[in-house]
Amino acid sequence: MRRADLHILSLALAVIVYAAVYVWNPPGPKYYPLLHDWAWQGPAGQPGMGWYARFAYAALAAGLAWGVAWAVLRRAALAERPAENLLVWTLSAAALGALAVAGICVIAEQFGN
Amino acid sequence: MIFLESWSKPLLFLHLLAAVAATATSWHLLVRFVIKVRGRRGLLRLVRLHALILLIAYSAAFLLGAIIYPTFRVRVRHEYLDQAVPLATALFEVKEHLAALMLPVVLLLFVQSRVLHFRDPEDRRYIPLFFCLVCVIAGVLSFNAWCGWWLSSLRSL
Repeated sequence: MRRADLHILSLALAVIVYAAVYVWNPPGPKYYPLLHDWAWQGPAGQPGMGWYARFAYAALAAGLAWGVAWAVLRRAALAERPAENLLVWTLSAAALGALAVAGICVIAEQFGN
Repeated sequence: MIFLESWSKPLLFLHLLAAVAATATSWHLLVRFVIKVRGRRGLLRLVRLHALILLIAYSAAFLLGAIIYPTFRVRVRHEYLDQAVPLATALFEVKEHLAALMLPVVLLLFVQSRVLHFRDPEDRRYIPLFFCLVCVIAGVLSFNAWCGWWLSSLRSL
């Protein structure tokens, strides 16, 4: 695997993990702008913002996935051979597919409410 | 008083400037990339330059949007849109989620533009991925630009 493959494939994997965690939307703290405070469960009627935690979770998971993929693929990169076509095509298609599914999910999430 | 509420108008203007730059650059990048891979007069350095500008402009628009979001959440969405135009609330949320989903994509495009030369047969395997990602970015940014304009026409900060 070449250095270029290492950079792109590890980031493509991070994109997949990022999209998956973003859609999963694990429970997290919300920011309450009128109270200037963060809370898991704020007072009723107060507008809360869960987006910051959702983005932070996705970014953290993507960072971890990128780090692990980098460490695993780096050994192959030392050999300086091109990545297998199957790996390139699979990860490319998976990254695009994950983005498409995530896009559909967030649209359905809003218009389904 | 909400966090940075008194600065929300100038910050919104900067958000608009960065978003316009990112949208325009995404279409430029698409055109430059197509010219480059078709082997015409396209120059790799222009593809790289547009990918760099896209990364900077998109990151700036994203950061500024995140900073003014609390003011929008209360003054526009909570006090007006949620009751009067629920469709606008849903569209705003879609815009924000799509913008967040595109952030690592912009980074991936930038990295690809730096490490690939697109003439090497090994590099050409990444052309479909790069092309699709640029199309997705340009489409999402164009939708978000329209959405931002429409929401501002209803009620702004």
